[in-house]
Amino acid sequence: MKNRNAFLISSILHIFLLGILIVNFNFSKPKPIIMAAHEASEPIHAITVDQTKIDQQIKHLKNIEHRKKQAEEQRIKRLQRQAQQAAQKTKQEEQKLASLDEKRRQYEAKQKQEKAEAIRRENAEKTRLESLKKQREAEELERKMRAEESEMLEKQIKEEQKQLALAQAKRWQTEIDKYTALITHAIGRHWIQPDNLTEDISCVLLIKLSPSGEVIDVNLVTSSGDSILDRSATNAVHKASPLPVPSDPELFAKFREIRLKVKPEGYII
Amino acid sequence: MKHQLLKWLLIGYFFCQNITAAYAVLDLELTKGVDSAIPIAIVPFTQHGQNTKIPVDVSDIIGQDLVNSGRFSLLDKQLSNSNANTNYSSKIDLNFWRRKNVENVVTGAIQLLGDGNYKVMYTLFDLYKSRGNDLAVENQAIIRQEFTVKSQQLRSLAHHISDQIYQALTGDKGVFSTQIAYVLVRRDPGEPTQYLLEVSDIDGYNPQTIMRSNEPIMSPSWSPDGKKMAYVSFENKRPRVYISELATGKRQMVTSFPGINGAPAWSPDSKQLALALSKGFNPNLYILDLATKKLTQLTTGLAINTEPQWTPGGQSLLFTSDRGGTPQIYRINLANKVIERVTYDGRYNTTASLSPDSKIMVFLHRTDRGFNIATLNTENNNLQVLTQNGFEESPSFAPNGRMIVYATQYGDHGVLGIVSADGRIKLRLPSKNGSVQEPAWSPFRQ
Repeated sequence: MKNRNAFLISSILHIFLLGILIVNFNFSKPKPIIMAAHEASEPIHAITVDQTKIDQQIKHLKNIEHRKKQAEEQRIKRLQRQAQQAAQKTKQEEQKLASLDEKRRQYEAKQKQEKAEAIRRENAEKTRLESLKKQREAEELERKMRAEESEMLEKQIKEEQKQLALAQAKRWQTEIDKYTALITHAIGRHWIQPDNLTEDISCVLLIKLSPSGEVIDVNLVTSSGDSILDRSATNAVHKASPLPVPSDPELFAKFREIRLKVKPEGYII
Repeated sequence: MKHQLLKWLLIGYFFCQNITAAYAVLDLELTKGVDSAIPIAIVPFTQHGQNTKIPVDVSDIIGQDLVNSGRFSLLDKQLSNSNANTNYSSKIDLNFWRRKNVENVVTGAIQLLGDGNYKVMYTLFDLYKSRGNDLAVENQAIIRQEFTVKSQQLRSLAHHISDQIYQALTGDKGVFSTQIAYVLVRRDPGEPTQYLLEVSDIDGYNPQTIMRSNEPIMSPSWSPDGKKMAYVSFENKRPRVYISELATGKRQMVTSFPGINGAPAWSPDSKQLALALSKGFNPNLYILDLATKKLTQLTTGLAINTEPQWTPGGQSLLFTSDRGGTPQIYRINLANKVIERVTYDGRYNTTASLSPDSKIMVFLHRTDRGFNIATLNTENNNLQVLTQNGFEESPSFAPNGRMIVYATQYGDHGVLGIVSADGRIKLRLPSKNGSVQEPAWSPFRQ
């Protein structure tokens, strides 16, 4: 930004100086030359001759001559002055140009310096960025390493959790098995098994339990076709209420609804 | 990327697991129950109307019947009585009875009507029939009926109610309205011995004499319709087979061959009578066509062949024979006359008959402990000795196959005993004035 500004300012300055130069040359056109040409072109009218008159004329001519001479001298002087002035002016111009040149040189030097400075800065920035990048890369690497580490840790934790869950599931299964046996036995003890059944019949009951094991509802889902068996089974469940259920609420959830298949196969001995 | 996917899969998996855990129904199977009597409460029937003594305690008879069947256990009468909330027609206090651990309650009422008849109402409740408590009677009732009967019908009505309850709760037809025929022997001092062919209710009440004689009467056999009875009478000093019509008392002599005329048995189609006839030699099996009087000999030889009993389908006969050296049970196929031995256990097995479903054979089986009633499971050949007195004889199946009546000795005279086919319950019928022998259980009343 700064660079651009400097460039802009220098450009404007250049244009401005160039303008001034051009205008100056315009003003320094040699006007006097034009004036002399005009005087010289004036025509001379002499027809009558008389001594006095001639004299006078001579005198007059001499005067004129003199004046001419004077004028010429003046003109030369003027020209000389003018030349002098012009030389001076040229000198001045040269000086001016020289100064401008100097200025330009200075400017160019400055530009160069600035450019160098910019390059230096750029390089510095580059280095900074590079180092930053390097740093970032290093950080990234570290982060990655850390992530991997934590991932491994997480994995480990997960594995442990899995093991725990498995152990828990195992414990649960033993608990479930235990209560399954307790419940079946409790109902079985109340189930007066009809003893005149045709073989291979069974009914299915859907039992709903409260967390305390109370039988809330018994529904005959599939009848055995024998109302006596159906009733004996339903009554057995009711009579066995409350049934033994686990106190752990999560575990109890498994026992909230029981589908009981009742299939008479013999007596509890 | 792969890990992410796995992670989500895992999360999804556990989520689903939890879902199933929360909504899963646990599947259980129950295969073993108890072999025990159904607990029932019979609330003494309330008496409506005039304060007259009801001649028969209907609810007491029902309770006795059910208990005697061996398949019910009666809640203590005191307990049943103590509940004030048993007014017939009012609501039933389910929880009171449920706490008593019974499944069924019977309530009822008897009312003496102006014309001298009795109105009997009763309800059989299933305490778990519908959910909830203290519901209207209708919602818990399995049976709710009322009858109007004469005074002398009250007892048979009670048996009828017992049958209804029994059938409703066990699925088997009740036999409380059936009868038992038997021979009563009276040896009163100073009097000639009297033989009476009698028929009574199965609890021993309402005895009716079919025939009376000073000579032995043996082997009563019911006709399949329960209207006639065949038996052996020695009234002319030698055995002859007679048939009596129960309603009219009309009787006819069927066989009078020389020697033994014994062991009549009606065929299931009522058309034939199987018999043991000796005709002067050893007894053999014959079939008598009752319409044509045609006699067909089934067995030959020098061995004793007697006590024929039809199998329920009528295709063959079980009988007792000593053809193998000891008395054993054999079966003869009536189509091809092929004989096969049935019993091998022990040295003495006689008087066999099959249950109506042919699954159990009952017979007299002698062991070190004497003559006892035994059953043989015809499917697995399992032998079960049901009684232990050692003086048993003449086992006869009830028409539902659940009970067996037999003769036994009690004190110095013969009485009838009833044993459930599974041997679980035994009871002795009230003894008579005399010795009771040769019981035969009637078919269902038609």
